[in-house]
Amino acid sequence: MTMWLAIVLVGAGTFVLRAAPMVGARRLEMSEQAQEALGHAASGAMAALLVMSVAHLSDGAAPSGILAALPAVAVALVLGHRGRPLPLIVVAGLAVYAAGLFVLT
Amino acid sequence: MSGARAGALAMVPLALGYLPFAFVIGTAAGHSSDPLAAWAGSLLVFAGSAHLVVVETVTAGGATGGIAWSAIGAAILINARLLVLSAALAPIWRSARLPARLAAGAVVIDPLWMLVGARTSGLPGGKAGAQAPATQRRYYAGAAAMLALLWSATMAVGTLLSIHGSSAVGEASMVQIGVPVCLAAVVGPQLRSRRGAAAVLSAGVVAVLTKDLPAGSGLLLAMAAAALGGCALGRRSLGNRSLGSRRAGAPAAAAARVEVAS
Repeated sequence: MTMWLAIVLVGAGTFVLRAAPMVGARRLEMSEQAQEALGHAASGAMAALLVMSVAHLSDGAAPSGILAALPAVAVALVLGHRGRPLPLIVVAGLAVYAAGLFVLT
Repeated sequence: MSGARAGALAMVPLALGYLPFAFVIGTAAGHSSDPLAAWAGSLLVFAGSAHLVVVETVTAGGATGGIAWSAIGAAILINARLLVLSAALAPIWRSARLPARLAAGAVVIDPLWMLVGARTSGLPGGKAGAQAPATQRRYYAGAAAMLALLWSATMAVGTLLSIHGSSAVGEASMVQIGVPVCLAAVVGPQLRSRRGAAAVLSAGVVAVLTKDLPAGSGLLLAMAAAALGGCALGRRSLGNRSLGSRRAGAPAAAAARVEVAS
């Protein structure tokens, strides 16, 4: 029930944001500073989730799992920084992780 | 070729780049407390980053109501950018009836904005003013329908494999590693600019420091730290620059926002 509630409320809130300019709030604008702050906040959410997801991996996995995960994430960060396409980054990250597991176990 | 079919076909290559992210969100949904509800967000939320925040945070936090509220607040903040994207697309629908405008608003998302915005504005490759509004709307609708179909179907595959087929896709950990890898791919481009890097580093440090707080609250603090860190560095940098370079930096900031938005 909690998941349903969260999904429906986020969906409703997002719909309001999406629909407002379509139904007449045509002059609705955000300042450049507000847009920049929101952009940084969204980046921050992804970075925080990244840290949390790696920490979550370390909770249940064997030490070799977390040791293999770190270089995989590092490779994905570098490829993302260089602007490589997402499918390539995912394949490279998984390959590094698999190679790490193979070496460490 | 024009209209809905053209929009649907034009969306396919763009959507393919986003599908690994959908698959990863699907696997996260499969591991959640309520996979059906988590998957339903593929259409109800229809925004990957915010959707992943909700699924991961609610799953990590269990069934405590307060945790869900912080996840909801964080996700809506992430989606606040859609207000700007929708405002850019609204002129196409200005003369349409209200139900059509509401339906068009419901599917506003970055790939659609990139595809339709480039076609209908003066951006390179665009065809400004070349087509009637009705044709532009059919193009928009076809592109949105294709994106929603591919996005939702890919997420369903990820969810089902996560629930029933871990053995079919190898070690379960191979599926779980997809979440941090995809997130790293989204975060990586932000490191190109000093402001983006400051925001990401601020958030990462706060996430580590707050990892023992109830799930969701650490995320909100990390978002606040990122906004403060990025904007503070931006103000310091701007103090040493001319007005001309301030204007030149605006498109880069806009591009950074688009890249994080998937």
